[in-house]
Amino acid sequence: MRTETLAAATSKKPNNRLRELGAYLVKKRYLYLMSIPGLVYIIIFKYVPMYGIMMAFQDFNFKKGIFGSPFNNFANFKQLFTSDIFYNVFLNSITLSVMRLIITFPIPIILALLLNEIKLKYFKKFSQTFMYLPHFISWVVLGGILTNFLSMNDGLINFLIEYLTGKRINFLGSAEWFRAVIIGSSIWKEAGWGTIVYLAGLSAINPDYYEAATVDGANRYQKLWYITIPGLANTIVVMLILAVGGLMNNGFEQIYLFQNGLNISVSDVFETYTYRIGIVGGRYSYSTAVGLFQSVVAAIMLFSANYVSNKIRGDSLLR
Amino acid sequence: MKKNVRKLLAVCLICLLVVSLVACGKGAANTDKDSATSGTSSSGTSNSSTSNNSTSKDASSSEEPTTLSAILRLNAEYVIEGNPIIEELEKRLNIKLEIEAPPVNNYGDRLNIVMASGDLPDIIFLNNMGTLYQGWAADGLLLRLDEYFENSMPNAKAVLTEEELAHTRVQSVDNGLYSLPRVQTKPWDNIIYRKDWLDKLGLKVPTTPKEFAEVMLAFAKNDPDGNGKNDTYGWSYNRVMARFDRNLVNGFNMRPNSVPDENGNYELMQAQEGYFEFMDWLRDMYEKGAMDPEWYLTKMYEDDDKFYAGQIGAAVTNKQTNHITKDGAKVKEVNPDAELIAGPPLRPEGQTVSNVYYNPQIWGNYGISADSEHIDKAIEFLDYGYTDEYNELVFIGIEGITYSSFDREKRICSRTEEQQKAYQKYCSSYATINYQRQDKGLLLGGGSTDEESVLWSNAYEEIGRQTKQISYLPESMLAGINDASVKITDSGITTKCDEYETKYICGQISRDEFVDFIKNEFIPKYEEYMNIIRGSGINK
Repeated sequence: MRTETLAAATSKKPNNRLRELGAYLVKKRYLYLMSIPGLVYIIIFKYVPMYGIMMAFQDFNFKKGIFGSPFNNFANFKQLFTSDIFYNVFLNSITLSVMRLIITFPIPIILALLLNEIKLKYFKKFSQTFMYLPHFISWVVLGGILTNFLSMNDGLINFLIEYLTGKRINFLGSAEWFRAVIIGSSIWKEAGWGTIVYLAGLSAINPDYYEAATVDGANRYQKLWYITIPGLANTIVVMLILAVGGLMNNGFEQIYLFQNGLNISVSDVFETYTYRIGIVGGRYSYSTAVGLFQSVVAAIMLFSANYVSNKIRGDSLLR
Repeated sequence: MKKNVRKLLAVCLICLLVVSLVACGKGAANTDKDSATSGTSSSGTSNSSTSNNSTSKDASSSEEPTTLSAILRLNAEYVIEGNPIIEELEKRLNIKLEIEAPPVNNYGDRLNIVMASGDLPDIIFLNNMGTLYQGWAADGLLLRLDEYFENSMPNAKAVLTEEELAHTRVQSVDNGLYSLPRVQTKPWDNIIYRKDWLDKLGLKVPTTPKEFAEVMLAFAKNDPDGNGKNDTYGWSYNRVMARFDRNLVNGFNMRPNSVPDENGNYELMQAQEGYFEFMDWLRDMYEKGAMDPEWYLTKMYEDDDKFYAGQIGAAVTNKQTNHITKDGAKVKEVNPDAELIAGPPLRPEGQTVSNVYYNPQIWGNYGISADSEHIDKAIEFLDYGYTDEYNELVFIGIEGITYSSFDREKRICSRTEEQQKAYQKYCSSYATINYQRQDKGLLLGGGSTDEESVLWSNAYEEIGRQTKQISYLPESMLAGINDASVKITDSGITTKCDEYETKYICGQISRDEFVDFIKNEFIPKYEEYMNIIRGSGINK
């Protein structure tokens, strides 16, 4: 069986390398041509705008623009690291992100495994669709629905809690409940949608393994433990690395909608802080510096997770 | 053969991908263009001459209309496309308007992004006279208007006072005039109550904080809507719109930061004696269940919505008693038997009138892009905006289309149902450049029927009798105050103050904790800020 790869093509003698690389590219020309639109998209919309990072090092002047504004000797970063509020925002962001990762990450995996065990085809499809639906509802709408459900005045959930316990819980107006509300609503909205990747991973597992295991007398739990989960491991690792890379992102809309004076001590995260400073306050250089810091931390986390994965499993997203 | 088919298929797929990408790009461009020109209305070409004491706009049909782009803050109901009012305006000035109108609620965000892009429309509703505006002026984004104002803007010059212009002058750039203020007639602040609730409970309109708290408690506990359920509250404190609402704080003798006491001393509002009384008053009402328990969730006007829905019985407003006419209709949609009555701003015990501090009522400001290619036309447009002719056109409309008759003396309009619908679509107070008459009177009174007009006029006069307006200048116009303000914001103390106030009102922290925070953390952060005010001698 002939297995030719780009790495193989480029690992031969230098004299032949270019010729073989050329031959390889010609051979796979349609694949590379098909990748062009994606590459163009990434270059135009992801890389080109990166020049805006320069603002973080400047006193941005609206008239002179990014290329004409003077550099300010890291003044924005000095201000950032000496600001009282910054450390609180940083701590809030990290705490919420880590909690969100630990609690929400396994949910789609568990759901996918459960869905995979459903034998009734129509019920399985119905369950999947039912779970995907909240993903298509915007945070603004979902926020309104949740506010009504959780309201102290006339919220359905508080009616039930009062019926059972005799008292109401101020979900929306307490720092203690803020993270629970955010994480709970994240699960509600995205857990179903998150199963798609894992269901795709499950469908890629060779059914012969299950047949062989059945012949060998394995029960469902053993099949799950020895076939399904190892078969999903690569997908889980990739998703985990991506999730760690996005650890610093808590999302603006969701947090902003649930933020108020009673939970501000835990709800002020990078997204709301940069919105307040940048969009509302118009201090673009400073907010870019905050955003850049956030991105650098996220990149460090991504590469760290990748490194750890490589060391432990010998496999990772980026090699 | 099969191989060729696969090749052909692959090439087709690649073409499809490339085409779809290009199409997406074009689509986006079209969308941008559409959104930018969504407000574009077709330009009139006929020659229209409108004479007026102050203006004479003779648009020559032989000249091509000048295209003026504008970013304006307009309400969501306002229709730009095919708007006959805009078409009339275009005829009068021989212009073609391309209007971008971001949603009212996040107009400021959108404006900030437009200003940062550097690609500015000719006319800009700035809605800002603070740090951002001064930065835009200093960076050269805005046209300096001093010379134009003196020589080419007779209407604006006739209307605007130096006191009003002081708000839009930029001290850091030679006290230059970089925008013109949108002045509004001083409103009669008032509190609107459900009269049917008051009558049912045998209560009268409250005038003092104590009376107000008693009425609110009765609204919350005595089933004023008579439905047998404990589902009403007195009112909701909308701190987002006004932390120190004039209707409330005057009852505690609080005065603005820039107004000295009788001894000439300036004090931060939080350092004044009345501040803690005000906070205690709010906390007491919250504790007793007189106010909306979830007032702190309010982001914009949700308290108004609760009032319309019959959940609360009082609304604090500065809408010139419009709640009892225009907005009163919304209350009646939910409860047809609802009746409303306007009450005065609260006043301390023993006083017969409310002393209400009013700064010049400037609701935003209009500037012109320094890079505009049509500066003369933009100046002409802006100057025309200070005539009664312009403001009546955009706010009251055209006879036969948006009203059937207009009583200029009483300032009331009669409209058919169809005209009322057209009025809501085509006219807006947001579109005015000078939200008052040239003689500083009201552009339009409240109510659309004689009955409503009488109701509104009586309320307006009654509130006026019980209110003493005290004019003052705010500190925002002082040099250096914005830098001091930025330092305060960066320290995070204002956010922390929000938290402490909310927690105190909701009973989550003790009075000692709250007072300790305000006195030992909050007030010291304002030292530099207050020193600038003290050094200026403003309002003495």
